[in-house]
Amino acid sequence: MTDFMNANGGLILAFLGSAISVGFAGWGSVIGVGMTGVAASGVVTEDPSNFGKTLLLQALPGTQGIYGLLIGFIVWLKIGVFGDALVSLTLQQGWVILFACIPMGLVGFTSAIYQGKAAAAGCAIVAKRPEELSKGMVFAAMVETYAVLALLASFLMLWFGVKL
Amino acid sequence: MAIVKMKKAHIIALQSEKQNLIKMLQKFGGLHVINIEEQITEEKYLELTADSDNANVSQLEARLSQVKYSLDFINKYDKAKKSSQKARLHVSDSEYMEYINSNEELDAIFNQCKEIDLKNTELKNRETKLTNLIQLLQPWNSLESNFQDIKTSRNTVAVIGYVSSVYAEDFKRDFLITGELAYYEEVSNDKENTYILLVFHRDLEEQITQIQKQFGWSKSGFTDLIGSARENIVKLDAEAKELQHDKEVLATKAEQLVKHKSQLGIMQDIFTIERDKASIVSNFGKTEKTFVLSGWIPVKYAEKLEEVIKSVTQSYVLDLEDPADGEEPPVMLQNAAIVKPAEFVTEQYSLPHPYGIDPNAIMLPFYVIFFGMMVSDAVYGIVLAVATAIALIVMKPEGGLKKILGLIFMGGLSTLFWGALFGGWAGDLIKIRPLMFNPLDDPMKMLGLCLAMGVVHLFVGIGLQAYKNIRNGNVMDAIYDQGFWFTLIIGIMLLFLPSTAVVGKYMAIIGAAGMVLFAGRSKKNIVMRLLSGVLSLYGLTGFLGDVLSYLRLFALGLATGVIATVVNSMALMLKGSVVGYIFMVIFLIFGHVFNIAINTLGAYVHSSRLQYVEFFGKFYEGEGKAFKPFTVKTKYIKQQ
Amino acid sequence: MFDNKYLYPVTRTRVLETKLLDSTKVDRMVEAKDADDVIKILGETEYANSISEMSHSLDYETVISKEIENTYKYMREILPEPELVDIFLLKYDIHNLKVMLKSSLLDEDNDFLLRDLGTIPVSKMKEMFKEKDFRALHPIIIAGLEEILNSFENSPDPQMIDIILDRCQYDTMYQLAEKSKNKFLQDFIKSQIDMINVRSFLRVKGVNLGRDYLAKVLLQHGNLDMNYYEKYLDESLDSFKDSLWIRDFYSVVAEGLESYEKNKTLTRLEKLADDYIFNIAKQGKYVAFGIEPLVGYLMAKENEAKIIRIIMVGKMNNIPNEIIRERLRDVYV
Repeated sequence: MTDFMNANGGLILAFLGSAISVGFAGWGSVIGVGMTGVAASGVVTEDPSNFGKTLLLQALPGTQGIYGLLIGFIVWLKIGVFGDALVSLTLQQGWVILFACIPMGLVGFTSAIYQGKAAAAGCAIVAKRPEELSKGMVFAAMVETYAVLALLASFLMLWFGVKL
Repeated sequence: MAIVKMKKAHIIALQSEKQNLIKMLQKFGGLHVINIEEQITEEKYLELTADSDNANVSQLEARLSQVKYSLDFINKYDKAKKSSQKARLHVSDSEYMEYINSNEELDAIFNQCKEIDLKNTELKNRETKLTNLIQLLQPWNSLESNFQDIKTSRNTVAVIGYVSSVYAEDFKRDFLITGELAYYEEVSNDKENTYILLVFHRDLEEQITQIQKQFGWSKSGFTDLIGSARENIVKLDAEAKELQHDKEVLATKAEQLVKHKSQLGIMQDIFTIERDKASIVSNFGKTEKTFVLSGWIPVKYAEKLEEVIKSVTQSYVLDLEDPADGEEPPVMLQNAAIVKPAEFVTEQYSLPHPYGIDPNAIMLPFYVIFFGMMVSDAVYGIVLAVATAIALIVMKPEGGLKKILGLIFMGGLSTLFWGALFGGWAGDLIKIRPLMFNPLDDPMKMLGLCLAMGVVHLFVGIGLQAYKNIRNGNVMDAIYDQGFWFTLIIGIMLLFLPSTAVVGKYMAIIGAAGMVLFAGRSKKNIVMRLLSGVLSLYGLTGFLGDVLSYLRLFALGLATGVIATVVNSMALMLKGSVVGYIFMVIFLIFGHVFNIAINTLGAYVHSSRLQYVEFFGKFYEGEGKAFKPFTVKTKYIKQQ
Repeated sequence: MFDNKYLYPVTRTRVLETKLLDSTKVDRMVEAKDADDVIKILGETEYANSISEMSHSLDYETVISKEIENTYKYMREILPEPELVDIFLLKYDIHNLKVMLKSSLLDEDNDFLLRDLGTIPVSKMKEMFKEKDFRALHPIIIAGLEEILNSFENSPDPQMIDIILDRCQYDTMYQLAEKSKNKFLQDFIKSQIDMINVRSFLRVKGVNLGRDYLAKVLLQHGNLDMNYYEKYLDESLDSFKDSLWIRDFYSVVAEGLESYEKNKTLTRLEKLADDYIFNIAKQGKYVAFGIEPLVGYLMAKENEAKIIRIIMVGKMNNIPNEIIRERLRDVYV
């Protein structure tokens, strides 16, 4: 068992990390985008001309999923998923990658959900005053700040913390 | 950066010339009329009463809603919808008068629309009733008897009805127990109900009613129908078809009305103009022979205003005055054409206060730079710039749309610039060496660049607050609040460089000491004053937070670059055969278009946020009311 | 409050809110030269659909009923818990029950008063009366019916029909709200009960109808206990008013009483009470996603029905515009 962990543990942890980042951030975006979509369809049922506007709002909580994928992609790039063979990782390197992925996964997940809520409320703004779309967008974007910071944190940890 | 200076104009003229003057003022379109009623209570207006033209307004409103109703109705049937939005039409003065007096024609169109609309609803209602009835009849399709025969006669009772399918068996059992004089026929059943024909002797009626109640029997009544269910369904289906046909006939009738569309459009414009002319009167004051109106006018139009009035009448009084203390004139921004797009960003936040600063000219370069850094791909920049340029030239948009397209056009150029600096050309599709450095290769440099951008942006913001203080004559405030703050922050930054550390130390100390001593100067108590001075140093953490917020420039730029790379590497996996290459190209196009869309949206939102939260937070005063001149508003008519 | 269930219903309703009658339309209706013109103006609005169902040119009641019916249909369609609509529809059932009970107990024919808007269609309810089978009703109401029948055997007093059924209505409404576990609905109904109780209390005290009568007309489940009112029956109005100073509706009672002491009518208080309830419903403006905006819309729609009725009645009876405007002031908040 120990031998197995020493030989493969690093890679396993690295994949786990990328799975957390892609999976959780994507999961959050699914919830957020779905929520906004439901709210948006309420607006569009009664006033189809607001389709474009509400679609913009719906796109906002989707970015976390993309950020998550981005971190996952960097992990895969580092460990050679796209190359000819996987790089062998030490256990320590594996742990570093895993922890580097956690901010993106965690913050991506929660911020996407809350951004979804803010964007859904933005749809309600559009319903009553279509000309105030930008305000609804800015409210939602305030939430995204933290996903952006988490993206940066995860990125820097991966870029500088893992030397291969 | 200019908020246009306003003067308040008071105009007095004769009632007999009111209509003409209103007409000319509307054409002139430079006077923001204000309601005089609030001021009528003042002494100098004692002889005035409020003027109005309500009868006319409601008549024109009525016309307008007829027009709008007809237009909406016709648009539903206009197949060519958008393409028929042709160039604006020219309407001569005589035609204009004809349209105003075209009440009968409008009535005719309106009534036709109304009639078709009403008939349509009626048909729809009948259709629902029909389909409902057909649905109700469906379960009885296989019943042979005619409905008129299912009734109570001298000796027998025949009924149809249904019970819940769960109880059907039990119901049948209990029913048949009553003996040979009871006949049970299951006509059909579905998931929920079982449909049954019952025939029994009258003597059993009471007993059977009991059983029916017990199992929740519901009677089906088609008392109005004659013939069997199947016959009825066939008949009703035919009727439904006929209805469908009637609806089509109506639709063709409606389509014939489409030809009135441009005519209605012109009417809508004309009645709007006339309505505006009538409703503006309610802002006026009047005496027996004269009327008074007040309004704001940009100083540069003041002379023109006098000319306009002179062209109508010689007997008038025009009085121009500067805004009184505490009076807030409406806000009109005047900016060079290149700065105009930035106004969109400011307007979405809030117009500047009439005595505040118009931030657009200063904000624009930052906005565009940030936008470019966040998308940061040369190819994307070219796509954005070309696409918006084409849209601007072909669509000739006006108002907000023109501004935002202009903004994205500039953002596109900036994106091209930063993309070239960072070496991003559709991700890594086209490999061109970066002119500056690749952020992925040298993240520390990129972080430093973002933070530096942030510091500059914030300093400009604080500087603007200092400028505002100085302009308002509060020089000492500028020194105490912004001067020391600058000294402190610059000092702290210098501390980090070995060669300037000493200077930095003293600057930081002077700045901090100054803030401790003077930030709380409004407090009388010396202890409280020092305490709030010390507290003001806490603002440093806020500043730090503000600066860190600019890291999003890096993160969003990173997102664009990496997603583009992902798209490229996935697309390249497809290459090989001819089909593979075709798919590769399709995938590349879709992937990059998606990336452009999502990142442009992100760049727009986040660049706006940096202005609203970080930059505006330092100095901006909003809540200005927009300058809304009394003017001609048209959608279909060409204005002279 | 943020309730995911309400995302779709609320945004959809927000769009509909923009289609409510605005003050220019109402003004134009008041200024219209006759009732036909009012209908014409309505024809330019969302009411156009219902207008096509009018049986004659002044059949505005059909328009209103249709519109209310459609609004409730819409609510039932979009609400995550459609059964909550019953809370608001119950008043129509109760109204119909009252009419039919009076018809059958007093041998009157009041069928023209029936309104087919309730949870139970009028035809079904008639059948219930014919078959004497009321099992489809809520248990509370069944019990109430029995009570009425019993009391009628002793002493036929038509007033009891109203009193008992009103009580049943609010008891049932409260129970349904309680079952839904929706805090806002409970508070909303509680406040309504408060307003009714305060009015009953003042009426009983004003005309000196006595303690027994008060006990009969007071409703349960208000924010104030029933004993509370009984305790103040023998004390001065001022002390009753002062005892309420911590309550939300203190200003309603205070202002209403002031006018009552001057004019000896409760009109002002009634208007204030209506406003108070309407304002609670209006909370929906500030709630992002919950049932509040939907209730607010429902109330706004019913308010519109009142407005149209006042204007139409006014126009048909040639009442001057100013007086119509005056009366509108009582409903148009």
